[in-house]
Amino acid sequence: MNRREVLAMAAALLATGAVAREKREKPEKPEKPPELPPWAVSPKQTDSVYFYVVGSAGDLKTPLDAREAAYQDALQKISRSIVTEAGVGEKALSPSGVLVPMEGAEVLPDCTYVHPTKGGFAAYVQVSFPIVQKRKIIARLQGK
Amino acid sequence: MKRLHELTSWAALVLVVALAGCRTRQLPRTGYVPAEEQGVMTIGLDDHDYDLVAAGITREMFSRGLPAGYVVVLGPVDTRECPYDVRVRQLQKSLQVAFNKEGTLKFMTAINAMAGGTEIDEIFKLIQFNWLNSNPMDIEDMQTFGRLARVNGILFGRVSSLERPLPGGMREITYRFVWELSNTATGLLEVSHEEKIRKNVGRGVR
Repeated sequence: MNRREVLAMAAALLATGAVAREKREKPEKPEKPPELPPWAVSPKQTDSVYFYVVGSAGDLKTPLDAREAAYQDALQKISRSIVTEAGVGEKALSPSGVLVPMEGAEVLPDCTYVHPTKGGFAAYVQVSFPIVQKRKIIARLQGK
Repeated sequence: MKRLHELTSWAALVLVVALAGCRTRQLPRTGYVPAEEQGVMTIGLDDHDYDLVAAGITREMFSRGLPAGYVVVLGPVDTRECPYDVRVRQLQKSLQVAFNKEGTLKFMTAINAMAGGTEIDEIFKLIQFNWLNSNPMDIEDMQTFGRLARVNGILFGRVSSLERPLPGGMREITYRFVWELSNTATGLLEVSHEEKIRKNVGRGVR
């Protein structure tokens, strides 16, 4: 066996190894969704003074946009719950789906969660709304 | 030889007795556990935590020497600074039971106190508004409420929590319950009490 044959054999062996290694490469894992904070999964129950909703939004360009969209989603949920309870239908809502004016809604401290997604950013916020205020709006909608 | 045989017999007997002792009969299993047992640690407030909180504030009130027949009403409890569920109704029930057992102080819920009419309802809303917005209490409102609802003191509550990550994916949460009992006749603070509950919770526990 001359030098050229030895080199050819070594190259063939290397190539076989490379192919085999390539085959063994693991398939790409799907991206694991982030673990949401417990308050986003199970929001607070209504207590004697406030009721609570979790608003969410996804695939926004910036974390701030995502947070704002999640807050708007929470306001829409509150508004829908009020018009349903008042029995007046969604015609009372503004084009944005929110009752105007909407005073008293507050994002709870430590209840904003923003995480990056493939399409940008997603956000969750937990918002409180006073029950007294809710009753006032219901009375106004019912014309009392 | 006979002595060796005797010793072996004794050793065998001791061994048999010892082994029999090791094989104790298993007690019948049951799903019931003592209600006071603290159970699995969760990040939210659990039954054991409510017991601790109710016991803390009632102990404090009983130890302050409030006059016999003093009527306490549970006023607003602000839980906005806590992301997790705080069951005020459960606390209310625990307080009611503790007061009833103790006997000298009386306990009333805000709903029962407001059964007297719309005037009480309106004044209670004002008191609640001031508490929730950290405004100073209006003594006149307190006096009117006390007179109409026939209560001597309003118990106000504030619940907050702080959470931080620990090494190994664990989390630490500290709940802080601040209670204030205001006298409806004088507007003065009669009892101020703070109860803290601190828990370490493992990864994935809710």
